[in-house]
Amino acid sequence: MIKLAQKSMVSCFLKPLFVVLLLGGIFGIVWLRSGILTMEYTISELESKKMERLRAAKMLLAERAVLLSMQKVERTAVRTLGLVFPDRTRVVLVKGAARGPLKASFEKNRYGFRDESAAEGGRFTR
Amino acid sequence: MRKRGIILNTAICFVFVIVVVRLFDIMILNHERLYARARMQQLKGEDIRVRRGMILDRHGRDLAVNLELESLYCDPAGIDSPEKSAMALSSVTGKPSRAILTKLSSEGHFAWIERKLGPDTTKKVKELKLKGLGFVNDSKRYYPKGHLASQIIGFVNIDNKGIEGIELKYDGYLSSGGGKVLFSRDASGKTLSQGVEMESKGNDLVLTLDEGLQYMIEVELDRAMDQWRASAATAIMMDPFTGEILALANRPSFSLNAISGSKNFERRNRAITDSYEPGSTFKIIVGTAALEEKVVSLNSTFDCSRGTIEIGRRVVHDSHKHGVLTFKEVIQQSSNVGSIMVGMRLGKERIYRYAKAFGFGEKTGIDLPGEVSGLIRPPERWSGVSIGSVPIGQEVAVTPLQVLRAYCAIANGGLLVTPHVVARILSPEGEEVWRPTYGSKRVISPRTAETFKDILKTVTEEGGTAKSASVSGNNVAGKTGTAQIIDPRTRRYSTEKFVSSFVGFVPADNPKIAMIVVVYEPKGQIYGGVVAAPVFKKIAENALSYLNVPREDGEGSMLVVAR
Repeated sequence: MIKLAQKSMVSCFLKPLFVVLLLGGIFGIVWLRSGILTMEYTISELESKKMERLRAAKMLLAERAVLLSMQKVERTAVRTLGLVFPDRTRVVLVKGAARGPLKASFEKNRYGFRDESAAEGGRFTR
Repeated sequence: MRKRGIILNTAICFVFVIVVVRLFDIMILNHERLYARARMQQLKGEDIRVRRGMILDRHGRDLAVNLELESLYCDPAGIDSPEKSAMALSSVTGKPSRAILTKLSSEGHFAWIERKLGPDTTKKVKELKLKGLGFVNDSKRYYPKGHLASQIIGFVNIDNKGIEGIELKYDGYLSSGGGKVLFSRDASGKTLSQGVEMESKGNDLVLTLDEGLQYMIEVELDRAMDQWRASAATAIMMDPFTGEILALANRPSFSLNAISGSKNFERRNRAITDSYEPGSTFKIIVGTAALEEKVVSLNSTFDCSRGTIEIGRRVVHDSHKHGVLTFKEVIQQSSNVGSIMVGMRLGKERIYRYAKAFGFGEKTGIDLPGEVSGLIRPPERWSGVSIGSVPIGQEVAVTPLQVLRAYCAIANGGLLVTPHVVARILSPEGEEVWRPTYGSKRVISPRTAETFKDILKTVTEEGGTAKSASVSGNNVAGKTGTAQIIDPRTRRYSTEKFVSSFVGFVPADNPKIAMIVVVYEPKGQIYGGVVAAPVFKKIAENALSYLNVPREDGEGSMLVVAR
């Protein structure tokens, strides 16, 4: 009698428990796998966004390089701002002065703001 | 009841056996074939993007960069209506529709339609939503400074392989290995990232060039070309102590961003690929050799009063009769007669030995492709008149760079340096990968170099041939050169075509820059002192100001700006 009761206990609790654990395990694996896939999709999308940004950044860097070219800087300095390349006879160097990226005379171009002053007038210098 | 149970069990077992047999077939017998098919459907191979390293000037200013563009390809099998698609693509890309149609109708599964499309065109093509088209990320080399230093930097082909200049010489450093990465993809073709770095970048090159100095010499060369209606011009600026090329330009030139429209002669780096007869700039060879060998002293005199000298059947003239000249005056006034007399005292063996020691007839070793060695014949191959030609820079062929290098040896106290344009190589992470070290070779004693430097200073002073090269506030040491060009038709020296040059260094006593200016076939004037020396002066004045080299006469009277 006791053996029969134990047998029914096993079939009543352990079998369903086993089935639940099995199903839970399968669900867990599927859920994990799906999570990984979602993550891979997300990374993939982010990578293409990163590529777009990188592309834009490289374009901007190239544009910056063009804008900072000596030719462009000189043209702007001479034609737009009316600066002139400093005459050596009128420049003295101050010892210990901080080294900056650019220097220029703030005197007005002696040819005024005419375009042809670019040929005679000035340079912009580092 | 029992019978039905047996039938059911048998049926279940039978089905199970069928499933097992099928699985055995799939997983064991046909595993390889089916696995390969599944991989083909699920995986997509993508090339690792190979990006060339950047080229920078000595201050880190960009000279060559990369743009990220897209290239358009097609799978002809997947195109719905090739004619309509070709028309639509033609209207957007500007490419002839016939050429596009040929590609859309080709056999196979892949054909390029247009490489490296601009961002706007790419967007427009994508908006067409045509079937059978695809895009691949592609990198395009872009040179933000256009013409600047074009013959040094060089360029690449459509596949980003260096084919000229630095791009060619240092291709191994600039480019990097590629490879392929396999991505999983779903039924709709969307790829799943593996988290792998998909970009491989080459090393960056830092050049010895200075964009500011380069710009200055290019502007002045353009002006000289216009003023003298010359066929070509070259200027090189160098640090006389290290051999670093600070600037190098040739005219005619071309834009690095429009290579297809450029001509071969515009792409030539004449500073190292073209040789010419140097004329009087070569007189430093007999001058320094005579001092070094103690054949003459500064006060040795030479009778140049006839204004001519006969060597064999050849009569060599001075530009005018000089009278009796000291050795110093022979160089200062660039007397051909006096220089030949000095050369005769030296003898051809010693002239040849010193010319070779100064690097003539050999490549300088500059790290640029296409350098020629020039020509100086060994003494046993000299003709009877060679002793009247070689001392004055005839019967020899030199490159502008060789001449400048020889003058650098005077400027730095007698050492022959190796010119170079790459200062260092940086890894993509910014670590220094390589820094070149170049040795130097002593060719004359410091004393001879100092003495000859003093003589060269007089060339730009009152009475010298190149007063127009003098720079306000600093001494210039240098020498003019005016050489006739051999006319290929008559095989004689042309009376109309000349090469005018000036080579020197400044400040003479503590040189910061050494520079040569060569103007080929100027019209109107021919003399180096008139044509090339003023170009030297203009560039030198701007360069000294740019480099913050103080005046030596203390005449700076007004502070405008200092840094």
